[in-house]
Amino acid sequence: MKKYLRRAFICCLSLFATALQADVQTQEKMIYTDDDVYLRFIQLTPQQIGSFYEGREFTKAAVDKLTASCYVTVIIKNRSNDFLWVDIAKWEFSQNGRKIIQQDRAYWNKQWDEINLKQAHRSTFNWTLMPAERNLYPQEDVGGRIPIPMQSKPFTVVLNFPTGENKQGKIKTVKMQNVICKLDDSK
Amino acid sequence: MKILSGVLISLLILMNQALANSNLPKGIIIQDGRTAASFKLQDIDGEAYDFAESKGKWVFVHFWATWCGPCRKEIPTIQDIVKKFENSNLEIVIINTAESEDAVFNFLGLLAPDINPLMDTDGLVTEKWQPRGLPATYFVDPAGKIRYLALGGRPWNKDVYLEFLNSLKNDKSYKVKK
Repeated sequence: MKKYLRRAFICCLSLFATALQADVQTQEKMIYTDDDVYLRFIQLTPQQIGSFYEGREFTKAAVDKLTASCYVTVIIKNRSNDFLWVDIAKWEFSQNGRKIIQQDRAYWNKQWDEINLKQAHRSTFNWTLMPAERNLYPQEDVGGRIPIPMQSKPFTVVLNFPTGENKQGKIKTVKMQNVICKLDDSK
Repeated sequence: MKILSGVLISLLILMNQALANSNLPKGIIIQDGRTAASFKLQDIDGEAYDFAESKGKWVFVHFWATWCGPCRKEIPTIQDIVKKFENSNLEIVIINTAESEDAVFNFLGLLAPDINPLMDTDGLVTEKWQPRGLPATYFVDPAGKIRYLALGGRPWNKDVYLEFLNSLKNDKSYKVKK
């Protein structure tokens, strides 16, 4: 019986989390679109990020590390008739000319090693990140998070997308300005 | 002359591939026929499954997770095809990536109660297959080679996809020793 009650409780929690996420997605988004690409930026607060991973049973130590960072969640759709490449090493984050360094998979592996995070959670975390490099077929979409150090001021993201099957085409560039690390008390 | 015939042959291959792709439902793309990575997992009821034992059939291998938005939309359509292709020459294999029994149980309880997924508890099987993202669906031929990939979530219960799945189910071109 206890097990069923636990499951019912988790079920209610996950429904609440989904509703919360849907609400966030409608309220907090920046969109860019043209004939080649559709881009949507979503900002989640540390509490929302924490809830997401807590809901997946991440330990407190892991959630503490996660909520110390800022996550730019990006949804991309290739609207062109050619290959579009996601290569996040070519995406530039900056604030008043100061470069903001992305916290890549190597950074997070080091963090997870420090707290012995279990493999399942490392795997889940990695799948929620934007792929480091991937081609997008025409009309294909992809989404994921890019972690950066927490920022107190708005920043700029320049997204450079190589194009063509072997990246031989022109670079498509989109600049997103006034991106923020949304904080819980700013709601 | 040799160069010219080489160019012609390459062109023919490309045209053939383009034609084959154009006959496929939207979002299904041809793969290079690399060997599918083998694995052994347990389903949510603890029953063992060995991918090697599926040799001789087409296999629909699907990776998903409860937190993935498109998976939520796609999984009921997979439930529909699970019943349709039960005990056929097309085996449907559904793999949850790195989640707990509770999370999976609750998700499927709401959206697709008839699905009994395999549990990739530590996520290592998924990593071995290196999908482009979640959800991901591969089609493995009876010889164990990856022939097609579905981009993102697909409405598998729609006629155009059912036709494609039926064509695999009825495919008699492979004779494979188990």
